[in-house]
This record gives sequence, structure tokens and C-alpha cells, in this order.
Amino acid sequence: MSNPTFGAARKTDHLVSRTKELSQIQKAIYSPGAETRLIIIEAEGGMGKTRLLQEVLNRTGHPNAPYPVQDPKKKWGATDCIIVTDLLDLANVQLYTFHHFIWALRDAFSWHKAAKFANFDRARAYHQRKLFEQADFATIRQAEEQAEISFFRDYQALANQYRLVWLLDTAEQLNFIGAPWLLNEGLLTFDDLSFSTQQRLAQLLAQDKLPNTTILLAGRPQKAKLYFDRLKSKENGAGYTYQLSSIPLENFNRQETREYLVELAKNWSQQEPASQMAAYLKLMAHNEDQADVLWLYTGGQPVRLALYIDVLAEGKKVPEALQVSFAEAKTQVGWDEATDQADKAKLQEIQFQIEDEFINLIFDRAGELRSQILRILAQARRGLDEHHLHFILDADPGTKVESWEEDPARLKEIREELRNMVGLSFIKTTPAGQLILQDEMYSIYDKHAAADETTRQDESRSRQVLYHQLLSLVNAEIKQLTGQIKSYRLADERDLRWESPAQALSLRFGFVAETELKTRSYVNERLFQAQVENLFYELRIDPYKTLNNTYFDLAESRRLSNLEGDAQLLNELWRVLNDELAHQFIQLSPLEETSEQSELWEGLERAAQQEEVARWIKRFLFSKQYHRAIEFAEQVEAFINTLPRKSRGTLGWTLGHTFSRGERACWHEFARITIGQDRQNAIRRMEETVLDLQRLLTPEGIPERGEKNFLEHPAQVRLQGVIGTIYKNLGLGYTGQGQFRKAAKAYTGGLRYFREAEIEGQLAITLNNLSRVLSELGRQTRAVRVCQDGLNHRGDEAGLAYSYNTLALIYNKNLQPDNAWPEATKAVVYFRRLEDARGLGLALRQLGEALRRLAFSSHPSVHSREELLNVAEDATLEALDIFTNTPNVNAEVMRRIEVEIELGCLYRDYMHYVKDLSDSHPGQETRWRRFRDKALQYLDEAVTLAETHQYPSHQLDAQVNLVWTNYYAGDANQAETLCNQILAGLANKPFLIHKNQAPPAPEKIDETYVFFQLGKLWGVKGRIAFDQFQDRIRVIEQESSNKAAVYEKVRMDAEANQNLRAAAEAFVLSLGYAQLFSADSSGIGIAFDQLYNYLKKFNVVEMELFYKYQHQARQDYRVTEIKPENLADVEQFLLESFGDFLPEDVKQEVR
Amino acid sequence: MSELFSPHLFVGREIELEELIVWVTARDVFRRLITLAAPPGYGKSWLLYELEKRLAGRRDLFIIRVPLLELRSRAEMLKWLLSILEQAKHACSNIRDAAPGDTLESIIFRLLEDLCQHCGPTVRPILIVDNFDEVHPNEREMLEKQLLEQFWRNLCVRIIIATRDEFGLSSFNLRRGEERKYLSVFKPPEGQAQLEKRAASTDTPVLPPAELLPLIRPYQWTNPGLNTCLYEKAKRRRLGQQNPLLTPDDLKNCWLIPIESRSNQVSVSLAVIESDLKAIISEETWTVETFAQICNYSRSVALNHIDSMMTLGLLSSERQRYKVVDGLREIIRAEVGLRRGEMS
Repeated sequence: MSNPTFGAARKTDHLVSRTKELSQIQKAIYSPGAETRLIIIEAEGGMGKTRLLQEVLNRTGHPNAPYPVQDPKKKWGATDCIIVTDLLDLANVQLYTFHHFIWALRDAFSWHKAAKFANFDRARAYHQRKLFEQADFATIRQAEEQAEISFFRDYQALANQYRLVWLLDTAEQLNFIGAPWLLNEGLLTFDDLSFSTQQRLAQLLAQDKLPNTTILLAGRPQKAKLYFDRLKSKENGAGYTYQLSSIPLENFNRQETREYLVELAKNWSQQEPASQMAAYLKLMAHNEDQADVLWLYTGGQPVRLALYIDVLAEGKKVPEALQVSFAEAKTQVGWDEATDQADKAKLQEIQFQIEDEFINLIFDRAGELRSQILRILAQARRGLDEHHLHFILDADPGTKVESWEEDPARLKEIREELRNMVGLSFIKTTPAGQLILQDEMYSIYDKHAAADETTRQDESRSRQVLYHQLLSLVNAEIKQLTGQIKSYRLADERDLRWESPAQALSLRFGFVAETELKTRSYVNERLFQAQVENLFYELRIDPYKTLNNTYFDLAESRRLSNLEGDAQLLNELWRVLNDELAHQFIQLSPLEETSEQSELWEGLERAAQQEEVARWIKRFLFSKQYHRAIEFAEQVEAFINTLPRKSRGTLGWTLGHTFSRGERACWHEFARITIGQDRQNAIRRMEETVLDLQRLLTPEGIPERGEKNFLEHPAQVRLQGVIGTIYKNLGLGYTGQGQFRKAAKAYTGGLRYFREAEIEGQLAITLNNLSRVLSELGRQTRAVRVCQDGLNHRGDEAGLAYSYNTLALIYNKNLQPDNAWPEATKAVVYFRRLEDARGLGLALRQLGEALRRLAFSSHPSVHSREELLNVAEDATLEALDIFTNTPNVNAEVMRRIEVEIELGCLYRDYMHYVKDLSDSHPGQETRWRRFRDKALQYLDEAVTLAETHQYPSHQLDAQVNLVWTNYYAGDANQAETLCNQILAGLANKPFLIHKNQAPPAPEKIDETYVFFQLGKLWGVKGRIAFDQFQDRIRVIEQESSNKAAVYEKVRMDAEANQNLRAAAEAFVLSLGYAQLFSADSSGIGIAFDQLYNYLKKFNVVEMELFYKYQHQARQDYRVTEIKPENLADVEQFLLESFGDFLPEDVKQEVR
Repeated sequence: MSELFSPHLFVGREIELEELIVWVTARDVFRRLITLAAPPGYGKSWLLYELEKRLAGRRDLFIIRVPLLELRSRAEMLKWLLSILEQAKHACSNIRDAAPGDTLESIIFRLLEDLCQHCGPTVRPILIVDNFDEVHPNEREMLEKQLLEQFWRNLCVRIIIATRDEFGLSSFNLRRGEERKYLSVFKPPEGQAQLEKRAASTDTPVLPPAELLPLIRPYQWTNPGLNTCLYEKAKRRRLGQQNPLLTPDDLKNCWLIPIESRSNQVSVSLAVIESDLKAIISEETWTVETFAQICNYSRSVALNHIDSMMTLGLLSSERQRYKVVDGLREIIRAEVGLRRGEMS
């Protein structure tokens, strides 16, 4: 036939039947009153739910009505009192989150000039900017909340004037995605789902927040059961305010089936009267017996009717079953007159035969573009556009996407064909405007594509080829978009206008115009959608591997701020898990020789549930709901302990598996460490967990629990990721304890796993954390190297900003403020744009320290040191405000302590500076006293907090700084007292240098920070002793003007000698501790500077005495026996930079 | 009729003939239209000639062979119909003449009414439509509507249409009444019998089939059309005392030349099709992906080539697998084998 292929399956312009249903809807829209009315339209796939909603558009005179009503009798009442939305398809998974939903809702009203939503539009633009900037969760949440408030303000105003009618299709998507037992068992609450459209819509209805509104909600009753039941029973809150009615769509009856045929024939006669199809359909429509046969076989299901008519009109032959009379057909299907029912099995057999003919049509018409597209759509199961199709159809085998050149004429041809296909009954259009098939069509195609084993295998191979082609397309797009985003960032950094460090706080990224911002937002969103597409196809190529790799990685990288993105990923995963027909074409690699495909799919589902539990803990964590994360983890663990764990292949087994428990423990304990809750135990549990998990990577596995190893298992990579993450989290725990050597070992342990599993994001974070710890260990060059490596692995702005911040920290530690301040400033600028409060607090603290140190450097680059000190004060105070007052962020007490210490140091140095000035500038007394008091206050507060929350390194740091502050304030006695208190507190510790004892071996001491702080402490003690010596010398000099006599007196003066001995001893110890800390320690230089400053004024006698006492002290404390770690040792370097890769036999040899 | 399809050389197909004769002569049948579907060379025409021969002389039947290629307009149809009218008068004296101005439809209506009701005894018209696939699709639609449907309307008429499997009818009525019968290739013994009959038909057999049979393995002489062509070529060579009896080109020409006349129905040249077939011939059945991979074609090019080969009746499909039709597959393999032999 010369008709377009599948042309008979064209949609009809006029809706057939549904009179009663339309009348019900009309009433719900036009009846007087301002109450909320909800109509649930329920029907399985292909029954015409969407068509009914479209008819509402037609009859209400909507400008986007697909089939505008010409007959005035069919038009519904006045249109000036209602506004009907465009049809919103919830199949768009973005609409799963409520904030996206209200955006879409607003846009769906936008065709009406009265629907202004001005407040919301402004709030939305702001929110979009934040999203684009990947701002932190709290900021985005706040912007989102503000947008929502604005939306409902605008909505109320509009609803005062108009009845607002929502058309929502595919409502089954509102069902909870994921493991249902999490909700059923009360482990998750509706509050936890407050970001989701399903929860918010139910709440709004319950709370009567949608006045003068009619909602038409169409969906499949089976799939949407939970949600529909909830709305129907109104168990969604306190309110019972909305009117509810339900429209169950029935199949066409015999009469309606005939009407459908007549309508179809009429359409063809009107549009293409001369066509053979028009004539054919006309004959068919007037053959009532034929119509009845069609009704019998299709059950009056509209989409099936369309297919069968197509087979009748276009199939190579008319299937036997369709050639019989109605009476014969009834016999064939075993019709029971008593029940008016066909024998189900017989009917299905006949349906299969007829549908087979339809599927054959696709293959018989191999040369027709429409057939070709249809098959690709059936296989891809995702919307495709002309660009995809052009590549799939026309690229030669092996063509690289990069070298592929599109042919505009061919593109046009495909585009036109797609446009023509929109009118077919079994075609649907996605919200993005791409074509997909009706679910029923996918189901029919799949059944026939698996009709026998050969066909199934062919189809499976064919899909694999297609998915790989589509993957190559989407990967090329990801590469291009990633490059584009990077270029935006580089341009922004290039445009930063660097001036004086005193301007650091006012540095900002250049203004981004609205149009540019929109482009960037689009690119960002498109990148994510491309990543989701990538996930979609990878899940259909190798689901096990993808669950453990791509899915895991994507979820990790999107975790900070994109809940709807995460929901989308989850949705994609469960789509594959639930699509049983499609499973036939995905070959899962057997984990064991005996594994059946069905068992493997069940195993995959359990693995997904296992991952989901851990994912919820992470979701709470990254939304900074630390306490909820801990509570949820505990409740889940308690529930899992109630599950029987008898054998493999059960949920109890999977969730109770060491891997599963380990993954949950990883994040559960991380939450505790972050807020400092039960930290010691959290660390211990993670230490135990990691050892357990590592056993799963040995050939033996864990035999006493019946758990096999994960070597060559698809989850091996994820297990490696989890082990790496536990090591990383342990590193954080040890850092909090001041156990930096252990922390470094943990981080390098993590690196090993991340490198092996190629988990870039975690690798970058771990390198960053390691560099910080190396810096604490005095390995400054090493720290910078590792940090810059981490920086190179960063992909997102937040990650980059954290790396810049760490670089600043390292430079600060290494007393390189001129290097530190630009890095800290960049971090501040990024975090401000991102509105990441935590990151900003950290970066401001580093900037404060950098500027403080810069102020006292030899080249401060500003006119006045005070200028820098003031900016440093502003920065540090802002940081303190963040870590004290920002909800959730203030849960990290350790950060607040760090800022308090820095503030103490800042005011101490300021005091010292002002005090020095007071000689030349009278009247500074009040100022320096004020600075002193502030310094003491903050440092005292830091000591208290650190003691309370058990951060020993921070406590010592604050204490030593208190000593220095007192010393600089001129209160040597108090300084001395504090020193002695500190030393008394550390008595009997193994890291002390004792008289006549061998000094400690630094490599055996984990609390390396103590060496650093004791170096500083003995430095101040030395200075006090020197000062006292000088005071004594001055007294002696006043007593005699004879130089020789003075010399002699000094030589003989007990007090002077005692002071000088104490000073020598203190500096020997100070330098001894500095060496113990690191041969590269900045403390060594500082001590020598101080020593030099004193000694350069000494006379011969004083020199001789000092030389003598230092010699004595060196012998007493045996400092010559100190063996600082050899930083030039290659093996040490390897262990600290990469971890332990030493082969076992070499280790034996070393031992 | 071509000498190649001479009924006196006919062999095999006894079951099919028997079924057709029963169907033609039965008082009531379930379907009044049979479509004989098979690839070229399978002997559809030969079978129809044989059927016609066996039915000849039966006074209760009136065989109407429809010369499709001569009926490209209503005028030609009318002219042909008048000639049928004349023939019908020999079968039955009650046939009314056509009057000037009579339409095609009214002439057919009256003719059938006369044959089926007014003749004594009544005569059943049997329409034989051969080579239906050779007509352009648009002309086919016209023929179906203006001619075949008109005959079809009378319940006493039976129609046999021979076509390649690729084609479907477009008329609503004809489609609903259609029964499709598929002809398969000969079994090897039938092919051998065909050759023997052909060899025996000459006074002095110059080429005993036994000499010919093993020459072009794996072809097993199962395609009646190819068998005839190959035998005649070999016979000529024997007469000319040439060796070998069959060359690779002979094998190629025997399947390629008969479809040359239809090459305008497809978008791909026969040379390309030949090359495609040779590339894929090692596979028994194959998918579009395999074909595209072997020939290094894009998907659309592969599908277009497949479509062309199906239009020419060189391929058949079952679900998503395609295969070169039986007989042709083996002859191409044989050709490839012979060429390899020549090379070596």
C-alpha cells in the first residue's frame, strides 16, 4: 500500500465516547465554590487517560489544545473564570522534587496573561543561580523555600480571581521510589520526603493550601495504588478539606469500538479522502461484525485497537483470527456467555498471533524510515531526537562521534518523520519533546522480541549494539559539556581583579548577565541529563557493574546539593529493576556457576536496597542533618537485626552481610565523628569494620559467616570504594584526635583503594585531607605536592575551593603568608558564590591567618600593617560567626575552636604590635590592653571547648598560645605558671625529653603535634629566662661601671647564671622538640631567630657562659641522640605519599 | 508460455496440485482467494500452468487467466474483458453480449451472473493472476479495485494469485478473504527428477543428470527455475564440447538475469546486491546488525539493501532474522566455491 506505514494507527481528532467522564470533569471545573477538588483518573496503559486530559484542553479552549473543538456544543462554559495548565507529565522525573514541580506548574500557567507569578519568578531566578553555582545544601534549601513561599503568595492571588485547573498525567510516578520497607517500617518518615512532590502535594491538599483549584490526576491504579489510596483515605494530614472523586476509565464497549472505527475512518476521509487507507477504513468501519471481532480481541483497549486496525490494513496478510465472524471469534476465545468473559489463555494466544503480524511489519518494511525509527525507539526505551537517530541510522560501523558529520538534509528528513509519527496512537511525546512509545507498545514489542530463544538473543545483541552507540553519543556530549563548564570557570578566575591583600575580602567574581547565566545553567543541567542518559544505557548493558560504579560515582558526585538529581538517579535504577520484560534482553554475568538470570536480578535488587539504606544516611549527612543520620542508621540497624539471616538470596542476608553493615557503619560513624559524638568508639568501630571488609577481598572471604570473597565480583569496586571511604573517615577521626601520623596512614590507605577503583571524587578529597595532615606533620613540600595533585582531580567548584583552602592552610603552617593569602582568597570567593557556609568559614579562617602573618612579614605589601590586621580581624570574626551561629554548620565544634584560636592569635599579635608602638605613640595603653583581653578570652574559650569536646591537639595549641599571649602582655609569671601547668599535665608522657634519658624516637610517637607545641612552649620559656637574665645584667651594670668588674660579677652571679642556664636549657629543648617534630619544622627557624636576637647583644663573658650552659644542656638531655625523621628517605616519602605497597617478602626482609 | 515452463516437463508439487484442484472444484470453501507466495524460480507459474492443464476440459469450470501486464488502463481492461466474453460463450451459450457504453463493472457482473446462474449446468469462473508482483504498486491497487474486487463480489468466483511473498493485497475485501499458501523449494530427489525428465525429453540425451548433479555443490538442484536454466546451459556446452559444463558466471546469470527486469523496483543496483549476497552467504540466517557489520554498512544502508533484496524476493524474513531464500543461498555458495577453485 502506498500509505505511510502504521498510518491506520493514527490518533482520532475527536474523542470517542467518555461522555460521562467529561461531564464529571466539567462539573469539577465549573461548579460554583472555592473549594479544592481532586479527580483521580485511573486506568492502565493505553486506555486513553492522556487523551481525556487533552480533551479537557480542547473543550476549555486552551491555546495549546492538540485537537481544538470546532463544535460550539462541545465547548465548555466561559473561559474567563478558569485557567487550565498545560498538560504536565510526571513521567518527567525532574518533577519528582517539589521545587521543580512548582516551576513546571508555574510555566504550565504561563500561557495566560493573568498568571504573572512575579514574586516567584524573581525567587526562582535566584534559586537557579544558586543551583548553578552548586551552592551548599543549606543555601539551596533556603532559596528553594523562599521560592516556594513566593509561589504560593502569587498562587493565592491568582486563585482569588480564577479557578485554577491542574492537568497531571502519569501520576504513578508520584509513588515512593526505592525500597518500600523503609517507609512501611517507619524508618523513613514523610518529613524525610518533604522534598518530594508526592509528599508536598498530599500536604497541600490536607492543609487546604490550594483554594479554588481543581486537580485532575491521571495514573495507573496498580502502580499508583499506594499514593492514590493515601489521597483517597485522606490520611495525609489533619485536613479533610478537598472534594475527592474518582474516574475509573473503562475499556471501550462494542458500540464505542464501532464509534472509534467510524471516527478513524472519518479522520482519514477528511484529511486524505483519495487515499486507499480512507477507503479501507470506511469499509472496515461499516462492517459491524468486523468491529465486534476487534472489540472482542482487544477488549476495547484503545491502543490495542489501533494496532489491530493497522494489522488489518497493512499487514502482509490478515491474520486468520481477524478473518472470522464475531460468532466464530467468540468460539475461538472460549467466550462464556454467563460471565461475558473470554478464556484468558485463549484470548492471549490470539492476541499474540495478531500482534506478531504487527511486529513483523516493522521488519518486513526494513527500508522505510518509520519502521527503522520505530524499532530503535522500542529498543532504546528512552526519548530520542533526530540527532541521535541520524547517528544510529547513518553512521558507518566504528564511526567516532568526534569525527561524525551530520547531513542537514537527512536530519530534516528524520525530523519530519518524527513530526509525522507524533500523531500515531502508540507514540507519546516526552516533556523534552522527544518521542517514546506507549508502555503497552513496549510490552508488546518485548514479548514478541523474546518469542523464542534465538529471537531473544538477537534482540539482546541488537540492543547492546544500540546502547553502545547511544553511549558513545552521550559520552561525547558529556566531554564537550564538561569542557564548556571548565572554560566558564577559567574565564571567571582570569577575570578576578587582584589588588592589595588588604582588598582580599572585597574580591568577587565578575557579574554574570542573566542570559549568560541561563546558558550556563542550561549547560549544567544538560550535563546532568547526559550523565543520567549515560547511566540509563549503562544500566542496560551491565546493571551490576553500573550499580557499583557509575551509579555509585554519580550519586557521590551529586550528593552535595542536588536531591532531585539523586531522586532521578534512583528512579532510573528502579526503572530497570522493575522492567521485567526488558530483563530478558540484558544478560547478567553469573556471579557463580549456578546463578539463574532471575536470581541474579533478585540479587541486584537486594544490592540496590542495600545501597539505598546507606544512601539515605549519606543524604542526611550531606544535608547536614547529622543527628537524623545517626538516628536513622541506628533504627535501620535495629530493624535489620530482626530480619532472619538464614540463607543467601534473602534481604536479611544481604542487609546483614559484612559489606552491607560496613557500608552503613562507614557513614554512621562519620556522622558521629563530624559532630564529635562518641568519637573514640566511632573510630574503634570503623577500625574493626575496615579490617572485616578487607577480609572480603582475600580469597578466603569470611568463612565463619559463610561470606565469600568479592574478588572479580561486580561489587568489588564498590567494596574498594567503601573501604577507601572508611579509611578517609578514619583519617578525619584521627585528625580530630591529633593523631596525625595515624591519620596520614589512614588517608594513604584510602588512596590505595580509590586509585585502584578509579573513584576520582573521593581520591581528590582524600589527597586534600592527606596534604593537610602532612602539613601538620611538618612535611610542607610534600603537603603542597599532594594538595596540588588533589586540586587537579577536582571537577566541581566546591571541590576546587576546598583545595585552595587547604593550600592556604599549608602555606600558613609553613609561614608563607604571601603564598597563602591568594589561595585563601580564591577559596573565599568561590565559597561566597557557592554560599557554602562551612567552606567559607574555613577559608576565612585561613585568610585571617595569612593576613595576620603577612602583616608581620618583611614585605607586607601594604602601607600599614594595621590595615592587614583589620582585614584579618574581619575575616576571622566572620568565620567565627559562621561556626557559632549557622545552623548545622555549628555542629562541627572543632572548626569553631580553630577559629577561636586564630582570633586569639590575631589579638595577641595585634596587642604585641600596639604595645611596641606605644613607645613612639603614647596613648596606646587602652588599645593593647583591649587586644590582650580579647586574645585571652578567645584562647580561654578555645581551651575550654577543646577540653570539653576532647580535642587534645587543639587544647594544647590554645594553651601554648595563651602562654605566648601572657608573655607578650608582659606577664611572665603567668606565662611561666601556665607553662608549668601544661608540662605537669604532660608528665610521664612518652614524648617528653628527660634529663639523662635517651630522647624519644619521633617515628614511634603519634602525637607529633605535642613536639611542635613543646618546641613553641620551650621557646617562650627560653625567652622568659633570657629576659630575666637581661634584667639581672642591668642591675649588675648599674652597680658597677667597670667593664671587667661587670664581667666578673656576671660570671659569679648565681641568679644571672641560673637564668642563663635556664635560657640555654629551654632553647636546647625547644630546638630538640622542633627537631623531633620535623627536620623541616618552621619552629627551628623561629627559635634560631629568637636566639640570635638575644645572643647578638651578648658580650664575651655572656657568650662563654651561654655556650657552656647549652653544651651542658645538650649533654644532660642527650639531644645529640635525637634522630629526626629523614625526609630525604625515599621509602618514607613513598609511604606518606602513596601508602604501603611494599610487597610482603620485602617486608619480611625489613623485619 | 515459455518453453522453460512447459507442462510436459512438469514434476513434483503433487500435494499442492491436489489441494488446489480440491479447492477449485469444491462446492463450498472457507476462503475464495488463494495467494501462492514464493520467491522467484520456485515454480509458481509452472504450477499454475500445470493446474490449468489438469483442469482443462472440465465443463463446470471457466479458467480466466489475467494478463496483468496488458491491463494498464480501463480501456485495456475492457478490451480484454470483451475477449473473455467471447471465450465464455464457448463454455456457455447463455452469455450475454456487452452493449456499447457498458461499464467494466456491469460487464463483469453480467458475465459472472450468466456463468454462475444462467448457464446450465452452471460454470464456476476461476481467475488465475500470475506474476502479480511484477506490476507497479499503484497499478496493482487499481487492478485489485477495478478488476479483481469486481470478480470477487460474486460468491461463485475463486481467485488464485501468484506473487512473491513480499507483497500484500491492499483491497479490504480481498484481504479478508485471502488464504496464503507458501511454496517451498524442491526436495533434492524432485530436482533430480526434474533434470531427468528434461534430459529424457530430447531424442538423444546429451547430458545425463547424474553427470551434472555433483558439479556445483552445495547446490542440490532444489530450485526449479535455476535447475532449468543450469541444465540448458550445461547442455549447450556439452553440445559445443566445451568444458567445464558450468562456469561460475553461468550460476550467477541463472539467478541474476531473471530479476534484471525488476531492478527498477529497487534503489540498489544488482551489482551491489550480488556483492551483498556473497558477503553474507556464509551465514544461514542473520540479523541486520550482522549484515551491517560484515558489509561495513550503516544501519540505514543495511536496512535499505535488505529491503531491496526482499523486494526482489531474494531474502525472506522471520521475526528479526533474514535469510537468502532456499536454493539461491546454495547456488551462490557454489558459485563462490567455483571461483575459489578457479583462482587456486
